[in-house]
Amino acid sequence: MKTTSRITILISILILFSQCKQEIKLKPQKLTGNNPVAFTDVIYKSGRDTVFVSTYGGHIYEIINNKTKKKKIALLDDEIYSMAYNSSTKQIYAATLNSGIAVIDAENGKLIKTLKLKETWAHKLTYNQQSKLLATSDFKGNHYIWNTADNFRILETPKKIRNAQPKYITDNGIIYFNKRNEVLVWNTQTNQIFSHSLTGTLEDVDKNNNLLVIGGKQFALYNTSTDSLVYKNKHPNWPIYLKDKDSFVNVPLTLEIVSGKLGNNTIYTAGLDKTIRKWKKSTGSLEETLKKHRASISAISLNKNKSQLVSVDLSGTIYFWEL
Amino acid sequence: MKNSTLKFLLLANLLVTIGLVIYVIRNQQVEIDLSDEILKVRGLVVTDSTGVERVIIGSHLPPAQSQGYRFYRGDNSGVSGVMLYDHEGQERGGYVTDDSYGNVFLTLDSKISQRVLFMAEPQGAASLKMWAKNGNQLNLGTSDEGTWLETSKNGVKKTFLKTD
Repeated sequence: MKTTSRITILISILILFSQCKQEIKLKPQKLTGNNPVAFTDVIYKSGRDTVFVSTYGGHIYEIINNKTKKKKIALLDDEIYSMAYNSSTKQIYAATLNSGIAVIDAENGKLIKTLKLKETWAHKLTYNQQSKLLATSDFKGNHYIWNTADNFRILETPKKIRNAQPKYITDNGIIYFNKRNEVLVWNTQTNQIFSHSLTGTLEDVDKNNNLLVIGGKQFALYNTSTDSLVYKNKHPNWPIYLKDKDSFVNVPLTLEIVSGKLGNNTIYTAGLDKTIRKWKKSTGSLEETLKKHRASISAISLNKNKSQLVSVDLSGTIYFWEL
Repeated sequence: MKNSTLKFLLLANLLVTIGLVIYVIRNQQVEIDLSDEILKVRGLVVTDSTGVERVIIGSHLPPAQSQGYRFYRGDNSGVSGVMLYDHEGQERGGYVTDDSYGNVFLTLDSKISQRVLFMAEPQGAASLKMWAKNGNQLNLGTSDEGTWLETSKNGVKKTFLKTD
């Protein structure tokens, strides 16, 4: 090799290194999905003790009672607000901010498909394992009822229930809808529609067709057989936890109720006061106040035989309650 | 291969290796000083030690958060500005301008919904509203046409004062 070519190569190497610059790339960020610790929903996977929880960050985890480690099932690039589980196909349905309803394989976490919504997004899903119907509504009032056993075929709904929000589905395919100042009951088999005049958000329906409705600071039990209100009630106080004294002070203020479930003989309500209250269903009297949560409760769920309650909050804490 | 060529290749190799080592060391820690710079961004999120967003400056701001979900603010409701969130990540207020009417407003929210609205409208009217969920309300304002003060209890007007 000639001396000139050697010098040329050496100079080229020096120039190459002198021109090297580090390129700094910013990690892409979004204004949503930033609250990584909060649990947004909880649903049972099995009869008891095993649940799925969702987060704003798009995670779905499996959590087993008394086990500290949670198992990651899926991660969506979206916020998740509500879930339902189809135990026969082992699919999780997840209501998201931007992707409609995501259908996820609960075994491997893969996204199978997405069910598109016409406008905006949905924040609450309702599903029944027997009738295989999945339902929700978006914020513009469009509702969607899919038959999951028939390749997610959309059910056409009668005009009378247009813009009503599906809230509960029974084993035989009767769907309860919320509409302004009324609850509409549509039998998908016979196409009959019944109406009950009551205000508030329908939270749950029991086997006797009693309705649990919440609205602001009150909850109400409504008997559909007699078409009458059984009673209304509210959380009587606000127990504030004092960390340094490890005790509670009961402030005589009533806060909003955010969620409720009907047990066999008991009503469970979760409030902004971070408590879950147990009420005797027959009388509406307060039986017990569950005060373990230290953050706002975001969701509660009862298992199928109503022997266990699970609750999650915005600090990412979960509690299983033996009933 | 000639001995001199081998020596050259060894030297070149040595140079490359030294260059790479210098490059890696120099770029190990990158310190960027932006104190004298102007930042132009679409959004800025301030999070606490647990990763919960506490302040968002953005255009446009994301939909409002409730207990475990976001709700739709309504049509033509895009807003830009500063939004404050509590330790659980729930929206508790903002100082924003909207895209449709041209209002600028300051809002304070409870855990559930908005409670205070302090607003200046594009044509010059200004108002302050405070309300509870049961219809208790205080509303005062002023415009080129006059001033007003209004209180309500359970949705029923109790006092009303208006100057033309």
